Amino acid sequence: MASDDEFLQATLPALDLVHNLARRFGHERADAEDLVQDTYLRAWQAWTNGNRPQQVEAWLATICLNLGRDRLRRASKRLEVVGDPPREPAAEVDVAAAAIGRVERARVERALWTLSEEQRIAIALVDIVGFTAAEVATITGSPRGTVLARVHRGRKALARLVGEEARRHEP
Amino acid sequence: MSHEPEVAATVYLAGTLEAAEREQFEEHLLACEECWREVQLAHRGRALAESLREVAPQRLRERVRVAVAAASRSERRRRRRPMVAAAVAATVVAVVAAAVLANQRPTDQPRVIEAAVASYRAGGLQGAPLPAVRPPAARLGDLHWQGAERGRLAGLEVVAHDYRDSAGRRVILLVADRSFPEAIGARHPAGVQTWTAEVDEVVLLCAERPSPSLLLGTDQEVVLAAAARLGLH
Repeated sequence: MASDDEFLQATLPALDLVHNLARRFGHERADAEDLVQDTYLRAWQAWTNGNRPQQVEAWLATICLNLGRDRLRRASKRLEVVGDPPREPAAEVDVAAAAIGRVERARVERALWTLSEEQRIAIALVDIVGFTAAEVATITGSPRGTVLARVHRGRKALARLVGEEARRHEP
Repeated sequence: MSHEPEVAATVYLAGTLEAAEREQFEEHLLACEECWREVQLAHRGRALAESLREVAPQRLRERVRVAVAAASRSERRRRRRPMVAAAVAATVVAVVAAAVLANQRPTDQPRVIEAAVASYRAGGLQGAPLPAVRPPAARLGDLHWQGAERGRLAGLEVVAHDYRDSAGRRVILLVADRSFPEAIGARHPAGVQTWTAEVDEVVLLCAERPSPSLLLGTDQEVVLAAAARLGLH
């Protein structure tokens, strides 16, 4: 169907963006991929109802954000019963550069998860995905100043947390 | 400059300061440990966050394509449903009409059944008389055996026994070496081995034992009574 192609042509270039954002809503890659699919299906639904957004990237990010927040809320209700969230398995220390990269990456990932949800989302939208603070203000509905403050505090916290963890693991 | 390092660094890093304000803050950074640290940490944090960027796996791209295609197909089916419902309604009307027609003309019946009914209505098989054959029963109530003949019904070899009463009512018993095909619309009041049907106003009763038999008549009670006397089951 021509409409499928038109939709995918407009939205698939933003797949990396949606994927990077979705990764901030779940510890497991599989959960993130489910969220990406759901984001695209929700977007497709809107598209078939005649919705043609001016800013496709911001539109997809908003859908992903709303679905992701819903999931976090549902997950936190489950975790109240179940216990601590699953942590990414600690990567084994290896001399290979790639392995060091993985360790570093896992460290940053863990640190990001310790930030507040609002800071984590602000960091994801600005630093990982690449929206401007003004765009994030529109997407999240928060004032630009608030977005800037969240990003700044989030970055500092990230730097401190990763620095501290790295020092703990120094021989 | 008011000294709120966090606010000052945030504004500076947002990149929206006028050139003069930016230069002024950069001068301040060189002298202020707190503001320097704010900016340094923020730069470091930003670089760490950026290191998490990744390219979506190819399988995810395919998965999205497949999911959208599936959603699109189901959407098309949903939109077509009213037309499908209309088509189903039309089919039901056609089937009902066909059933009504079938009651009037047994054109859908197996050829053997059609031929049996036709021969009953014609008054006989138009086959070879069998003068020496013994009747399965000399009488079936008021019906008396009139004779037998051998013939073929659409390829099935049968022996036809003709029973009549004084009022002219008639029952034909067809006996074959193999089973008769079941009439369309047959009922099984006494198990799968026997069936009864009404085709073209002729009542049929079929049984497998003692040998494959088909009784034809116009009065259901007479046919059932004849079957009972013949011990068909």
